[in-house]
Amino acid sequence: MAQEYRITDGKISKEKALNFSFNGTSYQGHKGDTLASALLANGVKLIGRSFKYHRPRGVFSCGSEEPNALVTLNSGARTEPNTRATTIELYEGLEAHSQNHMGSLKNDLLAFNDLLSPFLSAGFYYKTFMWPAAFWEKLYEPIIRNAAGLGALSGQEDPDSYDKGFLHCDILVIGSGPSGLIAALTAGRAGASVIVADEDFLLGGRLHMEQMEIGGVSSSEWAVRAVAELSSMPNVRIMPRTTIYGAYDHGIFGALERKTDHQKSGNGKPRQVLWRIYSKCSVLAAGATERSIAFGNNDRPGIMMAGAVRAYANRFDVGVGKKVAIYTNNDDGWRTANDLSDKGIDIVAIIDTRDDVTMTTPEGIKTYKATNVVDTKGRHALSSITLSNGETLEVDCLAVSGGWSSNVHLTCHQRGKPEWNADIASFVPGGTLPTGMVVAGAANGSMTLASGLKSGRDVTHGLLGDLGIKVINKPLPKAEDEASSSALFWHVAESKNRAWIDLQNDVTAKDVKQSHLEGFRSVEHLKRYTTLGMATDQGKTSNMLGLAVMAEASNKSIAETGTTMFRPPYTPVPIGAFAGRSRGKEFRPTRKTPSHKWAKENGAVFVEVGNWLRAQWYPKANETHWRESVDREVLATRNSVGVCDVTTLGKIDVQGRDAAEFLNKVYANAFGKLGVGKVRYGLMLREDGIAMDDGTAARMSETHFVVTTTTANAVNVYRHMEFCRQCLWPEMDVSLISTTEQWAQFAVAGPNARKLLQKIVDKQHDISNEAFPFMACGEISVCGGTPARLFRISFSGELAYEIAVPTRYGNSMMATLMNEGKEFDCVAYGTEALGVMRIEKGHAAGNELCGTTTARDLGLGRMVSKKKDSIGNILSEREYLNRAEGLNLVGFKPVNKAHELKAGAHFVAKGNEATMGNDEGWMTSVCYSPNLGYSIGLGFINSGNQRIGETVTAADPLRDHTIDVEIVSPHFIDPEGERLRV
Amino acid sequence: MSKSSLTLEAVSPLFGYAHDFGTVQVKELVGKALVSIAKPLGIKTGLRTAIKKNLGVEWPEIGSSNTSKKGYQLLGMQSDMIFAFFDHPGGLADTILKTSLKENAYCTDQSDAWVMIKVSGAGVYAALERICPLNLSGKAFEIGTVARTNMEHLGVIILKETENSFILMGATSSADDLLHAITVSVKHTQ
Repeated sequence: MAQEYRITDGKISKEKALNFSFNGTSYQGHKGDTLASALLANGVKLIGRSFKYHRPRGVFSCGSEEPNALVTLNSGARTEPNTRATTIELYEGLEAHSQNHMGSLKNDLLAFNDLLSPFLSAGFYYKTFMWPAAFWEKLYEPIIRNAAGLGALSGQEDPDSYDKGFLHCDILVIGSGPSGLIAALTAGRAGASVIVADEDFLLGGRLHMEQMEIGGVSSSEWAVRAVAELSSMPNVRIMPRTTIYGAYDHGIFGALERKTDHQKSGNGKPRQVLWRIYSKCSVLAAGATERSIAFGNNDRPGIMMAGAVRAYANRFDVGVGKKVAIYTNNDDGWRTANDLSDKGIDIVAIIDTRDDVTMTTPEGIKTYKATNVVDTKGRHALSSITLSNGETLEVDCLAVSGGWSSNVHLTCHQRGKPEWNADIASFVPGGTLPTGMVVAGAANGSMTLASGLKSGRDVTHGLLGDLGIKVINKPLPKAEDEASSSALFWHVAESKNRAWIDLQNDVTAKDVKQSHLEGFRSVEHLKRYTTLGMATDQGKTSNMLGLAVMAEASNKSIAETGTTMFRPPYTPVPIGAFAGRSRGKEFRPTRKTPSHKWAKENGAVFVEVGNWLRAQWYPKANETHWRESVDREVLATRNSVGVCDVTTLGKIDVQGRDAAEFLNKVYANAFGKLGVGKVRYGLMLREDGIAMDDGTAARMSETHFVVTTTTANAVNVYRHMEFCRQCLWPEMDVSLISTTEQWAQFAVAGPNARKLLQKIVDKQHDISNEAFPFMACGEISVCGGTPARLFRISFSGELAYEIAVPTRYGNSMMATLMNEGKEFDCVAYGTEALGVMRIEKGHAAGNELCGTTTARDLGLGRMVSKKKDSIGNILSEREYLNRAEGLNLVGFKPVNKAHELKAGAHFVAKGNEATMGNDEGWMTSVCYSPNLGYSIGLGFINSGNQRIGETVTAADPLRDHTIDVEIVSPHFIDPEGERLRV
Repeated sequence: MSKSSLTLEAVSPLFGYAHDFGTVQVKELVGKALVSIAKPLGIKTGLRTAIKKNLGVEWPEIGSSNTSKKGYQLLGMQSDMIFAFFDHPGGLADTILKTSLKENAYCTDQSDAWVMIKVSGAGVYAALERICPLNLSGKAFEIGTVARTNMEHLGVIILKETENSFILMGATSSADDLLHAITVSVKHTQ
């Protein structure tokens, strides 16, 4: 189809055609077109179906305020529903589809909803479909949701990528219309760091949409020159296709930049970037949005905002109709008539609601004063309008102007309340604005060109002064103020048919009045009851109209009625943009242990432990089940020697003259007299006496300790200790720094651990049992001089050491230990075997240190020294925490040893029902013990220490697994600790 | 095999990664030491004097760095702790400073705790603004400025080396992720 509505000799370059499709039909447009302008150029007026009644709808506006022309872009996984045709930059190969219809767009089967409209008024679903109640969720709601709505997602993973970023500037200029550009020029010339952002791909805003003059050239040409000057300034960053969607605290703004949306392919680059802009101050120059007038059947394709009709002619070279009428309550509507007439478009009539109009029109245009449009006709597009004088005019386009509303949205994002200005019939910014923000131009009520320019310059001068930047005075370019008087006229009372207020949500003037009748009179209630102002356009063209009708219905002024609160985002932001790169494995960082490479090469199966990736077990070729691997690792370690990377345990260097006393206060047990070269197990309590973390502290010198923490609590313990150091005891000479990442640490456990280490440790270091006994520590060297630290501590219950080398040697250390351990059949063991051995030994870990248990519960009550004070010491003495019938950590084994224990099972006395009232405790950790040949567990049970040998029921109703278990000592292996000390 | 015949191989977190992306070069720094120097409580001038005398440089203010002719660059991290950044091929780097600063300082080797990545070139600002919340430009972040920040949920120390060159230090364990964050940024902005 030829572009029969395209005006020749305009601003759009016609040299190269861009091919695109809409609902499978191919069309052509040009660079500089939006999808909407290209469709209009091709005479396509029916774009979609309305939300509720499936009414035919066409393009209504020419910007992000568009309520009607929502389309689905692309297909397959790249499907993007609900995009506004008025903001989509046309590109070669663009594919768009209409949405929200059953069958074809023209013959939508769901259009019968319109016939049912008397039953589907606002809030109908609150009153109907009440019986039977069960049908609502299963039948009624699915049907209603299916019939009403917008576009549909593909349900597939979004193949595009998104990014985020951070920008900084002295002055952020939001909007690039006349006031925005002059503000950016003023700030840029003064040397301020400036960002000027505009949601449009062409900077200049209304300057391209009007036939005005600035400084002796057309407003469009002036905008081009201004942008060129700004582009030449190194201190100015120009960001087209960028929507400032939110104003946040301290001058921070959210911005969405559409990087590659205007291209068929992004070539691997992110399609959008979500920016966080830190500004010292900002100029909001967001302009104003035209609103409609509510009259009968005012929603047909071809009925558009007058400013948009003018913009399509002036900027996009599109005459949206062959026979156009203007319906207006203000002077601006007349400019549309003048501009269209200049382009040779037939203006059938100007209908003005006002009587006292002073505007002049080109000769031959019929004008109607104090007249209204009361109805329209045309099934899929406008064919005629009926006036209040009874006259019918055949037109294919009706350009409507109900006045302009300042775009105050961003001024409200921190709860600034707009104020009503009756002189311009608009809310203007009021109350407290976001930090550093000033408002210029139409956004601040300066609706005309010259006043907008002056406003932009003046507010920027003020900001420059605040920033201490010298203003470079340059006279404003010459421009004139256009006529802009307006009447407070909102809807046509004599219209019999439905008069639409919110086109996107199918809300009529009658719905607003009904809301009032039913008591939903606050504008916020009105919005929720009728859905006025919801969805993708957030009521940019309808809010003002709706609240004006509400004001009339409630006999209040508009100022008294107020407006709803504008919240971010200004326009929709894809969830993908909020996520940015944080998808899949990039959702959070991964920490790898120093021996990760070796573990991977040796087939380790990894497990995520917080952010850490740890070897869970190392399967052999003949092993078909993880238990085989784990059992082998446990048995080999207990029988000979095994090596495990334990670098993930937190390590904190504690230095200072008061280091020992500091640890005395932080740990529940005593550290003051710990000798140099010795390690002690330590238990930290929270201030409320609950166990916080356990670990070890090794005294490397009089003033130097190395503290270890559990992996999970490494950060928490460090933070806690820093709080203690800086806030509780600033008088103590203590310095803390994490060394978790500095040292690669390996547990070497098993009867042959010493023999293996003796092959590694340099010979001048005696690590015999006599020279280096249980709980010894020291700085040594290994493998011919590599510095190392050795700790004789054991988590497995075996003769064991932990040896640490600088992380750079970690991978090599693991390989060397395994190589040198071959003669002992040394195994590498993972976290599962680690867990099995600690359960066999009865050591508490994260499952037991769960934030509700005390030292007493854990069987560590005697560690809480009463010879000194420490954090949590006093509150651990609370009576309830020390009651005789309180919890004790004990061991459990199944009465029938073929049974498997389950962590999370709750204990009830044998014969009792598994109810909350009978609950006596719970199983915290379980494993299969390859040494014992059956399942074992640790858990807390009331008075457990006095009930050794008793049989109780471990109830697990969730997994339908209830068995009898015997309470036993938590020390399943070597209860006397003899193996540790050999 | 005798004990002395064993040697451990040192590998850097990124195995010496280096890549030229055109307008941006990304390279892992190896052979560098990073040692924390903490100020003991109550020692008012001793540490500053010892540093001046032994390292030939003044104690830096927070957020700035001072470099000595001896090759020590001191990074002002916090009021009572700085980092010394210097060439050191291996071994425990803190022993050097412990020897010279004696009881005037608490030194801890951090060389292996941090991966050090140099990001340089004309496109460095465009790349880093995708991940770095700080304003790295001109007067806001002059050459020698150092700061703690986070990038893609990773704690990072960033040091401005020259006008178009930054050194980023992040945790060794997540070195791959930091490199990934940087290289993705570079690719996104090339």
